[in-house]
Amino acid sequence: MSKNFADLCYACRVGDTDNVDRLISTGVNLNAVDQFDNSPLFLASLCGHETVVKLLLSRGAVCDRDRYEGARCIYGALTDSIRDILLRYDISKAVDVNQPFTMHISSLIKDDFFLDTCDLSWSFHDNIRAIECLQLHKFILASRCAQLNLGLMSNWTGRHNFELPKGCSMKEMKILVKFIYLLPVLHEIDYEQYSSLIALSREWGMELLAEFLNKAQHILDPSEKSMFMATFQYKFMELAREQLCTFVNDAILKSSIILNSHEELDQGQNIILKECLAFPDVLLMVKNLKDEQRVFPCHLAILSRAHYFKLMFTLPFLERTLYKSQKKSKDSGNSSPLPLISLPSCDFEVAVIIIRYLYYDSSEIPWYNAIDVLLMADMLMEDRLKSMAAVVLTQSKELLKCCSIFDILSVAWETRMERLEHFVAKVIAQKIRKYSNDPALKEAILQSSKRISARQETDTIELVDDIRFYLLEKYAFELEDIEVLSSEQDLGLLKSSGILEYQQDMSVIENILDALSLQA
Amino acid sequence: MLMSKRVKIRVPNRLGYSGQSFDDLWPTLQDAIDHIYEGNVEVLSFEKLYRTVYSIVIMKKGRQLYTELGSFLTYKLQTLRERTIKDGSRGFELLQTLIAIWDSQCSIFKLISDMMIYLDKVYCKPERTLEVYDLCLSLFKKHVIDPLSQFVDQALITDINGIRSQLILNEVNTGVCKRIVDMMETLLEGNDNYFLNHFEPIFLESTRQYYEDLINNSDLDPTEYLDYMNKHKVFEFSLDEQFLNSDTVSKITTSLDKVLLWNQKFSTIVPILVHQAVIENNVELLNNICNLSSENEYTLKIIKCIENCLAEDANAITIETATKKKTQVAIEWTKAVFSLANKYQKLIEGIKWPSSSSSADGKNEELGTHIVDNVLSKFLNQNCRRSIEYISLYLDSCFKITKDKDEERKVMQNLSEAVRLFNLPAEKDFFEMLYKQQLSKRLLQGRSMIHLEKWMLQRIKDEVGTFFTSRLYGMLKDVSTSQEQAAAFIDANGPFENLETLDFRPQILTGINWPFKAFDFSDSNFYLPSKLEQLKLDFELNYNNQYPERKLTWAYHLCQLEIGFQFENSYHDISMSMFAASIFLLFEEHEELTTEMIGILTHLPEQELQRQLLSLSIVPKTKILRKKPMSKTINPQDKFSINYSFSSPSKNVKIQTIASIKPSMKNDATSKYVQDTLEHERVIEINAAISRKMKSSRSLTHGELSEQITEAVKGRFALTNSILKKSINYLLEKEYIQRDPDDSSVYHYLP
Repeated sequence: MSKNFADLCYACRVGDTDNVDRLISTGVNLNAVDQFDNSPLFLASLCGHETVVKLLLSRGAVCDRDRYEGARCIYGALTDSIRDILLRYDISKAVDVNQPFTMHISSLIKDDFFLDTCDLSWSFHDNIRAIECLQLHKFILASRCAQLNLGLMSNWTGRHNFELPKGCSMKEMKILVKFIYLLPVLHEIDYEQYSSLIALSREWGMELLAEFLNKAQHILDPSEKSMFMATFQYKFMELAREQLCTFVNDAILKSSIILNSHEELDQGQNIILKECLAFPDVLLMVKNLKDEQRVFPCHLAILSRAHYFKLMFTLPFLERTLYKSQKKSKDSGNSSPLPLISLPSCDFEVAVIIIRYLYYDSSEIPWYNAIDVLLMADMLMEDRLKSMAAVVLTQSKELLKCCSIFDILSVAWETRMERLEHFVAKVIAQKIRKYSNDPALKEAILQSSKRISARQETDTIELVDDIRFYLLEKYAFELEDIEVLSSEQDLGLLKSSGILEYQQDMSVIENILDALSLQA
Repeated sequence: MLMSKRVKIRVPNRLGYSGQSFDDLWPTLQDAIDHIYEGNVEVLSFEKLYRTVYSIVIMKKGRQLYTELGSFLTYKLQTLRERTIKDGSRGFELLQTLIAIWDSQCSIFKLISDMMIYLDKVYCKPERTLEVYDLCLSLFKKHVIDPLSQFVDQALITDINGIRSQLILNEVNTGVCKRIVDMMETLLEGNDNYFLNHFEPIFLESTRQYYEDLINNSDLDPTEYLDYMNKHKVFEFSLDEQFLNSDTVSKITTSLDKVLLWNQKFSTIVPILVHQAVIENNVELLNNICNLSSENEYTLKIIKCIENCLAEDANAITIETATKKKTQVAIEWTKAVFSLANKYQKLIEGIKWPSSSSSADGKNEELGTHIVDNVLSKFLNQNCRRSIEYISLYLDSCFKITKDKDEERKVMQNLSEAVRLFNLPAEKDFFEMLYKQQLSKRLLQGRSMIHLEKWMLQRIKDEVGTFFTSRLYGMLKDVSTSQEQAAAFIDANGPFENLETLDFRPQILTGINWPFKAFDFSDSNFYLPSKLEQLKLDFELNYNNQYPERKLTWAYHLCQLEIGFQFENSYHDISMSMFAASIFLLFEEHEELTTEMIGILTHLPEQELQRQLLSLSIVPKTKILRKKPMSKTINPQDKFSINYSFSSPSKNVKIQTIASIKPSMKNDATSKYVQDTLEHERVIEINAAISRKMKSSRSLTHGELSEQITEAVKGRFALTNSILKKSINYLLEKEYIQRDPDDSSVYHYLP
């Protein structure tokens, strides 16, 4: 069993929604089971974490009440409202797995009018005129379908409009295109379409789809079929993730160019990038701390997932103007340079993490990049990525060896991540005596008290409150216990209960507050 | 080790433009805003601007940025206003300029706020200040709209009033007005928007003023005025809908109603118009009046007017007591009341009220009934007894005319109409009494059809309740059981000896059901003619065998006898009272008798004897006895014999027993009797009601008691204080209740 899956099971048990989200995006199979035959959905349902249950279901966890695992989830549900959510979920309708990146890619074929990022059109003809025209993205076809990729690289180079020959089976091709764009089409297939679809998917080198179709055409029982589809949906999605990952690795990263400091991207390099394997329409430049620069060939279609980039290209500023003129020149056959945008200075790795996240939801953030990613995500206004980075920080064991807890606190404040603030408070509480002599703690408490503008004397200080909370947790006390024990005389009992230790810890805080003449 | 080296944490602030102060960065944004104002957006890099804002916010200069932005925009907007709006610019031109500015500013504000999105997210939201776009709007209001507000208001109002005066919708003008109103609604002021806070009150006031002037300067007759008002109201509504939201439209409609409908002028016009509509029976006109407003108060006002008309008309019904017979007067009067009721009912049912008013469709019938009943009951109660008397007389006459089938239908219709009036007068017990008396007469004299009486009673029961009709039903039942009794009796005894020609119709009446005084049954000294005496004894025997527990008393004064007699010239069936008949039958054995002798032979009391002799010998058309000497009074020595020369045009002759020797005295006695019985019955009823109330409440003050009793007997009569006192005194005396020893106004129930 993979570590990620074990982590997922744990996160489902404790109800850590952010972490569950992050782990799902690493491509774990949601419907697998641990050594006790527990599925993540069962664990979340048993432990009563409603938001986790919802998230799991929306990301493709299966709850089929006609099967043992599903029935177990429903009977094990801690609360009525979780049970109702599970009962409402209908396997036969819920096979369309919605990972965020798949939803985004699906949306590209449906509503891309405003940004207009398509760079390929396929038109179907009857005898006289075009009857339908598909607006597509080269990089999606290239990444998702090996055969089409070959075509795009060889004989179709530089072309943008294709008239498909007459007699081309338009319906089947449309289904395949939808499949490539990760739209839920498996339910739409008519029985008589199977054979031609199998042939076509073989021809396009989509072996997994061909395998699915081959088996699915013989399954008649609707429930069994749904189950079968659910299994394959997972495979399809993971395949898509893998393909996009490969695309990022082979097409984007390999094609990227590194420039020395103060070197400008010249016309020639721009053209080289423009005609690289990635079929880019936007160049993303990053400068690292050594003043080296790296330019990644990217796609507005994907970058626009981030609100920051979307705004940049929808508002009538310079970027949009450049992008549009580039598109126009491409359509007319001229070659004008691609628009170049840049991220703030950071390690190249951080930029790659952002790219991977945008292209296929990758949530693999090494702990040593996590702070940078967090800050970058904050600038890009990507809250989901922020949560993921914060999760990584709070789970990392090595982090505190290389950086001060108070630095983490200031990052937490700057990026407004409550999770991190709590983490910091917990760490301080655990080792309060170690930190008691650190002037930084004093400073931090002072800072925290200033975070409430126009603070009154009696207002609380968030950091102090959090530390007190985690001190209670540290000794496994409830507030009432403290009251009871404070009137207790038996020294042995007092010692064994740990109250003395607790009181000593608390006095550290009180002393600091006194020294700062703060009340809280 | 290599790893840990490279992750030496270098927090934070590397993503912004490091090493630059606010003063270095702000000019970039200022410059960008200048460009945006010049329409030169496409040369600006979003990336650069966003990063600038981000850097400023990250270095905790959000507040400074926010303030600077505010003052810079203020400057921009002020110059804009000075540049574009010339001092002389007024009226419609001003509005058009303003709209143009508003449109351009909105898109500029949008760009600025998008550029500042990081400030919104990280500074404005946590600090709970206006977001950048709203800040822009508030500055726009402060620096563009506020200085101009007076002129803008003026321009709008002038423009609208212009459209009003032409009564033609002008889409260009209303379009601009709508845009301005939209703008005002977008701008916030306090917790509401600027339109609601500032302009709406002004506009409402100006609208009121406009229409007030319009009304005061017009000089129109009522009908024209109505049309005029309708026209303006409809126009104003369609105008308002063009550029105002529905809330404001309804506010204007309300205020317009106030101006148009509740002014001095219209208040005097409404009754005139309503009156006119009623006289012409013009439902359409009435509808027009009603449709002016759906306000409840207005509807009530109209109803009030209609009620007044009805009351006036009702009071105008004349009663010509001088010339005609009482019955005649009663019939005419009642018919007039009916026709009035019907007319108004129909009129009100025809009204189409505005849909939203409280008296919505389908309830018109109820409403009509309600109004008519209301007014008529007031009218009838003005002279309650007289009304009741007339109505019952009318009913009586209706019953009496019916003989053939055709007429019956018509009578039933008349009676149905009358039924609705039953409920209206307050003193229902008085009505019950009168009706009972008349019914008893009709029944005993066989002057109406039983099935019609039954039908009528059912209607009365439906209308007034069982309590009212139980005794009346008893009377009808007596009549029908009597017929069965008689048949049974005749069957049992066969034809009477010596009396083959006698047709005997006994009527056994249950005492309490019938309205006769007890002493009426006490003239048992009376000598029945011998032939009848035998019959009486037979029947008594028979009846007592059948119902040994019942007591049979003979009421001779109610009996009628029909005697066939051959006079010189003609044969007549003469019907007369039992007493008269007993006198007449004496002459089978005597040629001539004196008053004294008749008295001895019949044992009639003196007064009764005189009455009967007068009826037989003095009344002109039924003079079947001859009196010597011929005088108008009866003396003991007067001699009587059969007047063989009597003759009459019809075969059937009815001898009416004259009412009394001294008619005036008799009348007084009757009304006194009525009054006494009525009061007696009322006291009994009040006694019962008080006992019930006291039993459940244990103790009550006089005030409470009086209130509750009034309510309890409301269905029968109106409680007066004197009668209540009488009843209370009776109950105190009988020790059903007692006064509180400390507080004499409190009564206690004595169990």
